[in-house]
Amino acid sequence: MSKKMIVLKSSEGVSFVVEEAVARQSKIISFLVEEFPDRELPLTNMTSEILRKTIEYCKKHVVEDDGGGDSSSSSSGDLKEWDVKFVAEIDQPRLMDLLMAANYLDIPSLLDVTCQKVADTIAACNDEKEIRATFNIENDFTEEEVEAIRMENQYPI
Amino acid sequence: MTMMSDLPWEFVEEILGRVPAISLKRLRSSCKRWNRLFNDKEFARNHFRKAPKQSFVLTVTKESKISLMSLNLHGIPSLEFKGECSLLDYSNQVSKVFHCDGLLLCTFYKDARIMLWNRCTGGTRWIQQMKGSYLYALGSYQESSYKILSCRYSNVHEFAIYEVNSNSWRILDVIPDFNLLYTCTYVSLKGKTYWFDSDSKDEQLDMFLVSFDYTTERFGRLSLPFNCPLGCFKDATLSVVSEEKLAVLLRRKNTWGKEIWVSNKIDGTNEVSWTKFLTVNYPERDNWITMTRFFLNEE
Repeated sequence: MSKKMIVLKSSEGVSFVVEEAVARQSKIISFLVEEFPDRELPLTNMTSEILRKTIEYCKKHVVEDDGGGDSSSSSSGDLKEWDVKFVAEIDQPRLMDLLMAANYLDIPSLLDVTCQKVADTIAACNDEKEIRATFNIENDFTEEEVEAIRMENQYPI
Repeated sequence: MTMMSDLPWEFVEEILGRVPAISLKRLRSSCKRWNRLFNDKEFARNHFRKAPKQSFVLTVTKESKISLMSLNLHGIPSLEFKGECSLLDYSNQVSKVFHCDGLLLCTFYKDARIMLWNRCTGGTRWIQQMKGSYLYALGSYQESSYKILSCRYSNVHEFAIYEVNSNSWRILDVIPDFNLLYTCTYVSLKGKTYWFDSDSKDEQLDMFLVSFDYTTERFGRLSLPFNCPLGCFKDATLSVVSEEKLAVLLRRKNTWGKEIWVSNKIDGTNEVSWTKFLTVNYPERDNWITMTRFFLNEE
């Protein structure tokens, strides 16, 4: 039996043909596939680049139903390692896009790994200047306020 | 392109809640919105639950400096030397360190003060010692307030309490019915400090754990896994497991087997019961006094 394919369309209008089982890891797509079985699904707020990344993640994480095919049969340890590598290769701005995509498409495991990667990046920053530079955060403190926080930090409790 | 400022606030909270406590200080001065989270009790509770727990081994070195090693429990457990904790412009030798919730209570040789040190913020507070005191333990009450328990001996044991909030000492009006053993270990867990002790009137009675409750400021007694008078033990040390259980390591005289027992979850209201975790058979000369410390992690 041939696998059912569905078509996802990015904001630039590029079509991606994906196995239904792969796409169904998104709860939103799962719902849409049932509502509109034979339609192309337009994902107007996802760029081709992010959609391609999301599909790559879903392909790796698809759970096999009959043990056949060439999709994923990785152990959970391998999968974790793969996830770490997967997010490590994405630069900071795109990681945020992927996090938003995981939220929009409702893919909890992808949301989890992207949130963790952002948290790890923050933890790896040496000071607030590096955090601001990495995440493009505007410094809205006056010098007096920074000093007040520094003083507050001096108290143990 | 999504910026940090475009992220829905729930995700910012989720992400910052996963940053280990030791790195949180840097976040405060990043921007006003992030800084506000630090006064948010809900965020603090979530963070405590979710953020990765960091295990450190604290030792006082031969040179009387505090040495910090991080304990990695992923894969093959390993210890990594993280350096010595040093205080700028202070070089007195550390005598003892007591730990509770990431706060260190340090006593020094040649200094009439003790120091409270927050390892996460780096903040310190110097406190004048009660003269002649030798026991210092730290514990919490009302969620995030702290008290120090100290004891001195002149004919009888006299306990005193220091409240961090009011920055003052007062004598505790309690006459203890236990001996207060000098060499034993003290641990704090959920608003109480525990240690091994024996009855002050009859030393032949079984050894027990004393608990001091920082809220009620009263002492209590807890039974050990098996009944034995103090004199029958070769080893007796105490540890905390995952900030919710007690663990004891016990060895009876003339035996090699060190038994580790773990309590049920301590919540302040329930009866404490013990389950044997393991026995370590480790030959040791019996005339040595061993000062074993142990760390136990349950997954």
